[in-house]
Amino acid sequence: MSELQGRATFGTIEQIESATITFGPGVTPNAAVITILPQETEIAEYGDMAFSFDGGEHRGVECKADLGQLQRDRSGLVWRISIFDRRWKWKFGQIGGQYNVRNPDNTIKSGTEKTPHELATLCIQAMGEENGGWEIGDLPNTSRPAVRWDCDNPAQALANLCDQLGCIVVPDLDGRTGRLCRAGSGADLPSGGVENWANTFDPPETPTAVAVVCGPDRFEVDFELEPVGEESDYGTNNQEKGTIKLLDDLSYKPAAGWESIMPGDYASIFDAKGKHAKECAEKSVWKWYRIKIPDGGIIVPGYSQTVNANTPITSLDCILLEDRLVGSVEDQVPEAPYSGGVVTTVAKQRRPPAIVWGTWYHAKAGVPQSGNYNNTIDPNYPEESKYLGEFSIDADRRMVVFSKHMYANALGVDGTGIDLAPTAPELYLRTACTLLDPDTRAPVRTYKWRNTGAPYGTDMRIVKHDEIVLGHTADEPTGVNIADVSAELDYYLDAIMEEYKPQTPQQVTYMGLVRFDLDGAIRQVTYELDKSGARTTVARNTEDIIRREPYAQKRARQREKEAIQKLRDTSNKVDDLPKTWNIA
Amino acid sequence: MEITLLGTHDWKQWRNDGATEVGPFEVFRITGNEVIGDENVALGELPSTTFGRSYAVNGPMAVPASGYGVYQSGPEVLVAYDTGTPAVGDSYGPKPSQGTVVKNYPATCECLGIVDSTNKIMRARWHPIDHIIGKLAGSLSQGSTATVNVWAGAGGSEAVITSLTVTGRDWLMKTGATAIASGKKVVVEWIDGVPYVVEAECP
Repeated sequence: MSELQGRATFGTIEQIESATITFGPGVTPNAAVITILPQETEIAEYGDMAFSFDGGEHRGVECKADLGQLQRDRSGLVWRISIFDRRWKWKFGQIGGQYNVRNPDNTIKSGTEKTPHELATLCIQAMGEENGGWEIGDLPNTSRPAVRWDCDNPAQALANLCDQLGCIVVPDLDGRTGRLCRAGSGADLPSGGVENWANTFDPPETPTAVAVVCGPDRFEVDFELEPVGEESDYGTNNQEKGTIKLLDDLSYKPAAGWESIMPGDYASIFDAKGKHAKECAEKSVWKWYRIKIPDGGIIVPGYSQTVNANTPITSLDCILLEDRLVGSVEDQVPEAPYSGGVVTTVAKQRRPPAIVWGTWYHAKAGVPQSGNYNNTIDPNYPEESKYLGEFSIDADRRMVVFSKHMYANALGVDGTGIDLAPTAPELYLRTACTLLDPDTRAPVRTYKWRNTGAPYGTDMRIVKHDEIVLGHTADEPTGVNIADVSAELDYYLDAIMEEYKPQTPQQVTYMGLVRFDLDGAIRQVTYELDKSGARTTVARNTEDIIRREPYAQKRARQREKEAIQKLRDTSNKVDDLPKTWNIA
Repeated sequence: MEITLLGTHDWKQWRNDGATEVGPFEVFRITGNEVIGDENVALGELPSTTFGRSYAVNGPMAVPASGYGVYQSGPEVLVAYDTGTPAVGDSYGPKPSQGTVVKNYPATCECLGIVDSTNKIMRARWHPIDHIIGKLAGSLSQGSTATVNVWAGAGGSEAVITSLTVTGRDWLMKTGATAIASGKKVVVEWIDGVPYVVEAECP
């Protein structure tokens, strides 16, 4: 048997006929394929792998044999064995934590702020890598990406973080070290010892425009409320029982009208309509209030007035109620340092709860008929001028449910009469909501877009960032946080546009084994050893040496896989195609 | 700020079984009880010449004849008075054929203060009638009963309440004692639910 001009070793393997390994960036292992003659000694499945030639050596530590196949070729009977580089270990482990969690005004929640470098270090440590052995200086450190890790894989978490910031993970294979490199930037290729050189042509598939889409916009609206009740009768079509109707449409409405009986005094309803009618009245009359669709529809500040001019909301199906306002308040709460010690006060932002305001019957203590109380919201102090009683929001039925009766006195105000005649009060619910487009029922979102200059006439490429939310109020219909949102969208647009910068892919084959370290430009290195000698093939700004999946494509596939897994793990949430509006 | 009207949720239901409407915060004489569904509903009517010890105060809505309403369970109530300026401690009671309480009538409440002088509403402590003054409409023999015409009014200006009577019973006279003559002033007190003549004008 002729001697190899180079040498490859792995554990107890004795005679390697040929070996090929391709190294690429990322968090999934590459596999070396070695061909050996059958041997009596047991083949070790774990150990270091080395390629050497003319005194040069490339070593991969902690490799793992994956698959062995007995094959017959022109050398006779041979074993063909796949060996994973050390990244096979990265599929294990977990990391948890929520960092850079946003306050309602898009600022970072106190105690959760971490720089990208700190986040990357957490991942690297969780991966079991050498502390301080990674170069992370290329990772942009100014943004504060929101992460929610919950028993996540640390390597995938690191890859996701790098994706957001336009970087790639480049491990060293001869030790638990590595680098985070900016995609597209890196060393040039040397010109000496070249066996084959090819400049290729691989322009990116550039869309006409790219856009970053926010999470569904949040609109703060004063919804007018109207009193409703639960129907007790099956009705003529046998389907009305349990439905919600306006008070005057209920089958158990008193003959003399709701003004004739005291709220809660429903013995006459029992007499006339029976027990179930009385129960429905007790549960719902003057306690349930549904959002009213006025003639012409609901004018939503920031949507009807600016985004979709003259397009009021005409269906309750388009309104997804929340139970908080758009703005935020800051609480001072006690907190002990993580390591214990003296308790200090820290600021925590929260969105205040929804408000009910309007005019309703109100009796001062000891004064029987103080009349209808007119409650108007002071825009500067809304918390101090709201209805203070208990209520809850039934988002499904677009209703407000009060714990006590709410009504007005039709017979006057402020002591002009002592009799009581309950009638509909003027009530408003001020709360935040998201909207579905009246035509398509797609969530209304904000987006910002840029023209790439590509002449192909494609549709826009959409990248969603649900953690960015634009809030609208009546005072600031264009958005209370529009400056912050706009800046954040610009940041992500910059990163996307980087992907479409023209590059010059190169593929060069060198004689012998030449050491190349992967970086943001050198995306793939292949070492080959066989009886004819050794070769090193390098791909710069391309990854097509051996039909290897391009990095971006691989990451997209991995992200898709993760997303599917998350969908399986959690309850499915409908995420319609975005119906968006542009703040550019 | 919204404040609940005096124990709104504690109000109980009643039905006006009389022929006349009972106005907001007016009184009615309790005449009985009816179970409707799983609730007790008091029955009542505007005060009349039929004497009763137990009265209640309507809620803030007028209750027409045969209509339903709510009444205040007390002991503190808001009640409509007929005239004047009630002072704390003044006693008020129902008068036949009207819903507002009248000062110095057989007392069902003591004033705790005026809450609405325009609409003549006062806050008062409510209780049953335990004493009345009056004059015998017939002679009262030892151990027997006699009709008593009920009198009421400010001290020194007492007058008969037309057609309002109770039946007083003797307990105190010894066997063989002379009967108390008709027309004599008496004080009637309810003891264990029995209206005993406990004082009588000297012969």
